[in-house]
Amino acid sequence: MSSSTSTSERAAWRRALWVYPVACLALAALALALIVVIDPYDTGRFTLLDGYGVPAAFGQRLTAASLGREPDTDAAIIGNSTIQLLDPARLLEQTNWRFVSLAMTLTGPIEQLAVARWLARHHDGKRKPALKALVIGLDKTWCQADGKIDTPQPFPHWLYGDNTLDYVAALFNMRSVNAGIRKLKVISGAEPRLRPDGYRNLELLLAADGPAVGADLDLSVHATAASGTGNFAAVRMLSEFVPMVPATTVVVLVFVPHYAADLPLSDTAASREIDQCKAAYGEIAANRPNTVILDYLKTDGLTSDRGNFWDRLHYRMPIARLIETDIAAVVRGAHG
Amino acid sequence: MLFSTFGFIFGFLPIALAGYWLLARRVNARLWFLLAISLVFYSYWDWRFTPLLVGSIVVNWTAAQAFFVFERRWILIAGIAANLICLGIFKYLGFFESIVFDGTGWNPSLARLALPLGISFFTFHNIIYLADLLRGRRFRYSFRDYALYIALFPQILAGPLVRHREIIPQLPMPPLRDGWEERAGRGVALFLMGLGKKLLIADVLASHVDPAFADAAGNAISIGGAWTAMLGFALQVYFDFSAYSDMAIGLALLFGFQLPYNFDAPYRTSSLHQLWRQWHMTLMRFLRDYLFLPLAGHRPSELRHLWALFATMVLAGLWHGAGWTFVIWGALHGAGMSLEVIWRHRRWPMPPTIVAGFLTMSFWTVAAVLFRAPSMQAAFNVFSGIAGHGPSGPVLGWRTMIIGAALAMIGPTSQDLVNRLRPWHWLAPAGAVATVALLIKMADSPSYEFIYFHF
Repeated sequence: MSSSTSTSERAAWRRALWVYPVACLALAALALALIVVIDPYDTGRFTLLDGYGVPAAFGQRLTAASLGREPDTDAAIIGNSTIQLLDPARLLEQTNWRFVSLAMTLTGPIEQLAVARWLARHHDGKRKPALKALVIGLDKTWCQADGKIDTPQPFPHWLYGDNTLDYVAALFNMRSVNAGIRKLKVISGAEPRLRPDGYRNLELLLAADGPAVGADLDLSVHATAASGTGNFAAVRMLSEFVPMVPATTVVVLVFVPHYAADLPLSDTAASREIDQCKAAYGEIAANRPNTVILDYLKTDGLTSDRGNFWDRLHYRMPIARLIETDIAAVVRGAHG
Repeated sequence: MLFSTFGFIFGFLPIALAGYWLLARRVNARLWFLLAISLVFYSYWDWRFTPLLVGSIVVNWTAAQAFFVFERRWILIAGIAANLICLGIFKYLGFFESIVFDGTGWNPSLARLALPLGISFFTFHNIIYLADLLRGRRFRYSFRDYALYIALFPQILAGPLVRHREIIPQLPMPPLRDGWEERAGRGVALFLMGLGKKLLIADVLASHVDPAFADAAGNAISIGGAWTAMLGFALQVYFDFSAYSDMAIGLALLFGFQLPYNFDAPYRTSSLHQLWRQWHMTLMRFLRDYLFLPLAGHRPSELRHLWALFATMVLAGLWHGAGWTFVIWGALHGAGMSLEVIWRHRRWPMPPTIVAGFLTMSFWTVAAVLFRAPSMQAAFNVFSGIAGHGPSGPVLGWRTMIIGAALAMIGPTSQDLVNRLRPWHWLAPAGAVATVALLIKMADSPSYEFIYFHF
């Protein structure tokens, strides 16, 4: 290594050693501030660019912060892919209410309730208008012991939580820089914006990147016990969440249909456990006025018909239309 | 703790630097502090191996003291043997078991031990010292200094392989001696270059190369996948290990120590001999001094020279990993280098430099498949794809490969660049821009371990 000789050069190195960390801190703060005010996920936190939404091609998990705080929304749908086929446009026709779909594939009760809490904070009935209806799709994961599911990628709890520090810290990375650039593209019109009702046709997604229709529909193989313990963590989570929802909001708990083979045979320990689980949610509904349960999670002609299902977990359009009609009827009924 | 993580850069490093520089004027406290944080650094990976590291330091240092008192050479020989046995037990037991099983059908069912990080490196450091004493050189060090030679955190995990007389005399030098500003400035620059090479090239290539080799482990792969695996890995391994070396040397400079350079544009080469003189230079100088020269003896015959060379390279292969792929990789290089010796001795006409360079790099790149492949079958599957057997498929990461190849073959080395730096006005702001950009990139990149941590 060469060694500097002159005093002035040594002074210049010394100055560089001071300037470098100060410049790093200043630049990092500037970069972070820039990302925060661009607000890549349209959370409305500290933003200078409010109300532009998010790109249409964003992953579902990153869209609910924007969709869930839309002030013009009358009603919302929460759940995973098993509720995604419900179409807000059709519900609008039947109820005259603007629904938004916050369905996210590969999520369970923990993730869905994180989104529900975000939604409730932004429709608290005080400073922000309350929702008229909140639909929550309950599939079998809501009857598991721990309510946890394996997600291939970690869920962005930082985005939906109420810890500002977590949120800001999570913005300092390449993913958020790219998201910010895409938001700027949406604002300039170079990239399409996600439709405000959040609907994405699940059947198109399954057709492009899912199992073949009917591939695993076989009534000779039946599911066995869900948890085996008789404990349902998600029941407790839901009962803790419910008080956040304004009393005027109709809460509709939809036990979504699974293909009959995905349900246990009647009069088995497993089927009794499902009944027990449903009863626990029934108790939540009984204790809160304006709460309705729609139950399709059972073996009947509807769920035994192969034509009604894509695979064991996902019903097809005819059932979606039926559930939409039932939801429209109960929310209209509740609101007189 | 990986150098390219927030925990290291914003947690460990500031504490280590602050403590060290605050104690700059108190030699003893400063060096014990450095030893303590080095052990913390090592323990962070897996504290269960810390007793092994400390035990290795104590045993080797005690052996040296016993030698100074009793003047018995067998003490040193026993010490070197103990180091090799320890390395053998942790690194080669499984390989030995598989050889016995393949040969005799008998399964000795030996205990499989986890490989302690850095064991190949700290074992060699110990051997360097004992072997030097055996050669009659009387280097006597305090326990503190010897422990630092073995455990110094920038080089404990994957080198550079330092000679004790290169680093121990630097330990008591005051960090604030003449030129500290320049050393620290160049240290930061070298660390940043390493970080850039790691994040922008090595890890990007890893994201394509790892899945390709994982595929090849199970079944035949596409032609594009095979080329991705072969070309991608040849570049990845250079950028990964030279990045690690840059970061280690840069970190040491921040503490006022100069470690030896480890790479000198090895891919800008026209022979295997030259490539190996410029690749992992501190390992090759170790193998030359402590293996090849003792095996070859003084003025060896051609046959003995070739034998020593071949044996050295096979052992170099085995040092990198316990498996036939590594042995064959080493043997191939031994054979290639032997051919070069024969060629030179016979004064056969040399091909033009560019042709020789192309042949050398092709040989290196093809052989590197064996270095990376998890099994012989996986290597065979890659070669089969290269030969055009299999479905077509895209070569992934080709842009990064082109940039990487250009940098490796034409671009200056990190140390060239760093030594050319002057304290220009824009240097610190430019460094800050690079730093913030790299940190943003680092924040959501999956962190890939350095390849050489496994050796």
